[in-house]
Amino acid sequence: MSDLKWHRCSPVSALYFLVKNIQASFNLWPALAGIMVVEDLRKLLFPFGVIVIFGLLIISAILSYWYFRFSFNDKRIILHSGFLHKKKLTLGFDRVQEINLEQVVYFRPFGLWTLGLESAGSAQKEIAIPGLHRTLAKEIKLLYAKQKKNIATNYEDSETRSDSGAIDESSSKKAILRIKFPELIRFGLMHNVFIYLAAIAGTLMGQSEAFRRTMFSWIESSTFVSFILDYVSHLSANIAMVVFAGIVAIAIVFIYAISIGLASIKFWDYTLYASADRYQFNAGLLKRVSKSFKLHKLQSIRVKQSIIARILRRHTLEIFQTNEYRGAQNVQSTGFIVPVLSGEKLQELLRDLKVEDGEWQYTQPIQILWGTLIYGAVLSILSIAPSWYFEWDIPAIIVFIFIAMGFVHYRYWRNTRFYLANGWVAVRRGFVGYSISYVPLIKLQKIALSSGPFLRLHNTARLHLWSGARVISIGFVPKTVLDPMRDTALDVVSNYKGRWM
Amino acid sequence: MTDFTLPSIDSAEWIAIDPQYKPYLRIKLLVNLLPFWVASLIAWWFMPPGNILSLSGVFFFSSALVTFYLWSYCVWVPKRCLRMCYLMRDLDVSLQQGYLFWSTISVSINRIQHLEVTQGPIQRSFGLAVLSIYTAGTVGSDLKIPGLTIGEAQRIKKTLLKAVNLEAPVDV
Repeated sequence: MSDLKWHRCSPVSALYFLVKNIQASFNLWPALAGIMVVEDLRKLLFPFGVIVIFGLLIISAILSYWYFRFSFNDKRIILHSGFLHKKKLTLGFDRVQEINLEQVVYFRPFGLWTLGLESAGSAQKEIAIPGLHRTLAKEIKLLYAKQKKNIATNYEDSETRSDSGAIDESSSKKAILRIKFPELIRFGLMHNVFIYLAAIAGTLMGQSEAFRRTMFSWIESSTFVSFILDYVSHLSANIAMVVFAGIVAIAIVFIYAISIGLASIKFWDYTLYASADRYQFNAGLLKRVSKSFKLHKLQSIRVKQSIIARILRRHTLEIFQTNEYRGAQNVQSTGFIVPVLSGEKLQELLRDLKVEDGEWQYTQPIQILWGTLIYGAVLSILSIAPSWYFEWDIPAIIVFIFIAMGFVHYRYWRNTRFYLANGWVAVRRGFVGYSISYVPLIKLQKIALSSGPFLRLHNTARLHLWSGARVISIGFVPKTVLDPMRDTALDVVSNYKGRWM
Repeated sequence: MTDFTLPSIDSAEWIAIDPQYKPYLRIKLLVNLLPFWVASLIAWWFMPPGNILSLSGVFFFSSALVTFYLWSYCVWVPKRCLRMCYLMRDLDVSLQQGYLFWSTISVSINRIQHLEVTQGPIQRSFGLAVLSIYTAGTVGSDLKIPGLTIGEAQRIKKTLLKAVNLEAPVDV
């Protein structure tokens, strides 16, 4: 460290820290809401409180700039920051995934840039060095590029030299799956959020007095609706029920038609290609999307089948790369998706992806009892107030809740299984449909074995496995089973020397 | 299940954290509970005079805070510190912790992305630091080892950095 040259950012970077502090202070808005309610505190806040808070933010920004220093050599970059909470961060260039330059508006007059280095640990910048002149920023970028080139030479990996992310026409690609319109209809039926939104919206709007008044006045003013209602009122009760059921059926068909339409637009002419160890799909009607990934970047696979998919005998497969599940701004991404495929095609694709089979094991059935007791108790407590208000039979409600929770947890336990075999770990869950998560052991980042007092009572524990994309866990498994599983996983990961992302 | 070559971490010799972590944890808990005490004092200050129900509510809340702190001081902190230990092997790092909820967390050295040694103001007064080990995993996949002396934290960081840099890439 003594031969390292330490650099400071430009003093203008205090503005950068000020903006960051202001953004961070927005997280305190619940406290602000509380203060605004109390009149005396409100008088204290404006203007005196605002001046004090802003003054503190400025002082904090200046101190953040003063205590921010960085140094680098051809292998790594080191940051010292913080005045109350000191931080010393070391990041090797070989761990950096992406490096970019940004110029915010208040840096432009001074010709300053913010250098961002992203390691694979999150979707946001791990290190941001603000207020750099372009020459210094480029010097760091060059060192990073040299380090990356050394890695490419060591791994003999042509992808690092030119990674356009696409299979070009000259490579020997093979179309292994084509999804036509009938399959897209199935997908639209399988994945229809509108039907649930419609049910929720209908319930909520039905509670609204304003909505009911608006509906009635629309009904009264609409000639067609008035005609229908008048006609129905002259029919017998049974026929009226049939007509009403017909109207509901038409509404459901309409909602599903929207879902199928959107699925068709998104996945029109979906074609999945495979070439050596790269997969690519092209799809889309209005906007043609091409997404690809290399097999060694695979972090996790998820196979899903909802209740309707089960009737249609179709599945959905998603492949996640590093942090793709979380995505930017902590919004879940769907990753690389194969929207709909038959059971046979699914097994073929899993074989191509080198997913190994294993012997499924069940968790301990005692989890049915604990799930029933805990969830039953919580729901029973929550139901007491409305039951008392609506004068329902409280003991009967509580008995019903416990019976329902017992059924739900039994069903959940029946569908929960796992295995660890041949370099893969898989966890299956579901109630009516199912979802299976497959993770290759070599992609694991962190392994944790935990046990609370309930789990310890039955000599069971819970195993958590973090990959580069997702975390999976399995609980109520005997500790005598999970301990060797943990040790096996740790051994496989620790001894794997190849590329894993 | 395949045979594994590394011995089980349960049979290894774990290293306890620094004894200074116990008093540090007690002080830190006090500092964390302080805003709630201050909030209850502010609530008592602005309470309409003679409001017995609200005053008894404030008294009960403050008593609950004191009881919680005393329980933590006498029971939770000592038991938590007793269980907390770490393990450094050639290929992995592990942490064991928890009082009611036990956990053993392991990270392979070849998955380490970067390392950080941090010291808050209270930790500095006890000569303690936290070693944070970041991986490429999703949320929660990092490992933080608290209760280390600053010298020990720096030494472990150097050792891990050296081990990370010595990783030889192999064609697979």
